[in-house]
Amino acid sequence: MIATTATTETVDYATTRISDAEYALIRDYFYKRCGIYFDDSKRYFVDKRILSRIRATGQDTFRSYFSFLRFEQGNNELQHLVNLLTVNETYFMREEYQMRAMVNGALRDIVKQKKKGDLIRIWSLPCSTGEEPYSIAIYLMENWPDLEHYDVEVVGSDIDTRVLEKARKGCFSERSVKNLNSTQKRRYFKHDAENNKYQICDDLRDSVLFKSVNLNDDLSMSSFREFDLIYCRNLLIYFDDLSRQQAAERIYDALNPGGVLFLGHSESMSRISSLFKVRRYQDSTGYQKEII
Amino acid sequence: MGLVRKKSNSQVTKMNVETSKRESANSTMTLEQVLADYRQGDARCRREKAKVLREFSGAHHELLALLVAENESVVRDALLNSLASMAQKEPQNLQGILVNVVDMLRHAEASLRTQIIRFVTGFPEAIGEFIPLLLADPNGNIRLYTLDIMQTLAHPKVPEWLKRVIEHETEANVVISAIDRSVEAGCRDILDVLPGVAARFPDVEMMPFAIKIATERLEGAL
Repeated sequence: MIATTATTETVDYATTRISDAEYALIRDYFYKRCGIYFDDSKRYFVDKRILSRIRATGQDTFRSYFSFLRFEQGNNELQHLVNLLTVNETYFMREEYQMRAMVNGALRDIVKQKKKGDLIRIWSLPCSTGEEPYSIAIYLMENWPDLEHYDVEVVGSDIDTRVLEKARKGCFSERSVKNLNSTQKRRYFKHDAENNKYQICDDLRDSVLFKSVNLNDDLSMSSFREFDLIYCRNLLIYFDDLSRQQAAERIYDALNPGGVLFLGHSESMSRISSLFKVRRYQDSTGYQKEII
Repeated sequence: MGLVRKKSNSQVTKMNVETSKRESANSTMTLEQVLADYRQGDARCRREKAKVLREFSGAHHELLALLVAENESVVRDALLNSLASMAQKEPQNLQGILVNVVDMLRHAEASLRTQIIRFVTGFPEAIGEFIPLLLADPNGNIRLYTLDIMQTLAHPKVPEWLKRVIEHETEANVVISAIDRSVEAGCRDILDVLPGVAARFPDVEMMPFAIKIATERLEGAL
């Protein structure tokens, strides 16, 4: 027994521990609202952040916090929780299994509608400082033999022009390249040992185009069209319900018929829009624009 | 063949000539022209025109009429997004839009129903005004769909509405659904009314089981 009074005991219990049932409750709600599912392996990560929000919002118990979260108009607290429960980090070959799904699944679907020599366009959105689109280019060169039969254009976009400038420069930290093996680092980068930075080689840098875009703006999005594959990972979770539906529509319009969208590994489109057909690839789920 | 190297970012945003011409033409069309094209077009054309319609102030009546008659899910999605866009730009029309969209629940097939429910939950405050009426609707299916709307609705009165359904609803499947929704939402307030529910439905074998599970989960969870 930690506390001496019932009241204090309740507060201590509620602010230091989340029960299995409470975890299930908030996990299911979070999935319904954001399409992100946290399995039991994320338990410690999720618990810690929920407890911090219980304290930050001045709630006494999990119950009162959950009611506050669940029924608050405007969803400000939900947004706080989204920010805490999503990790904003980027590095080369992050979630590499989605690259495998691109080569072994999505591109097989896409080339069925192409003939040799055609252009295939791939868009990374948001691309932040460029690790994802450069990873796509590297992965294609190393793992997709059909690359020699098609022209492939890789485009990276973000709303933040400062990160795009960094992406264009292509200078990365040790942490950014941590998932690359020594051969890849040697082949695609020049190592600045003094500053421990990795400068991407010119050939690769010239193979990715960077252009700013605002997914919430029709005009900005209207010039992005005819993509065959779009990576839009961990972005839609930051939008409210209506904006998310409208963003899904804009992404749909940016795809060619038969084109495929990849979301973040724990995100789902099924809660957002009916526009896409779910495609189960070996390592990941894709969302395909049907040919109408 | 291989990765395309570009010297200029201007090439990124190229559209093919056909797309560019089409979008440019859309911007100069009258409402009547857009509607005529919509009625004659295939699904792809109708979807495009559905999006163009959001640019016409006051065209929500036309959008609603098209929504009633449209069978293609991807076109309906564009029509609903246009309605949402118009409701945001012209909030005075939101209530009228919601009245009509909600009414479609009566004859909507499952996929349209899902789209409608997704649409209305995007306007939690406004749809909140409809919930008591919908829960009093003589059609039990409408009351069930209303519980589906409440499943993720961010509105402070949801616990109160759910409790009222559990206390007063006459159809067992609606009560069971309300109990389920209450458990999902962690509405522990229903614990004091649950014991009296089973007696109202003596022939429904499922009811005591639903109450038992709900009680265990709510007491255990919270």
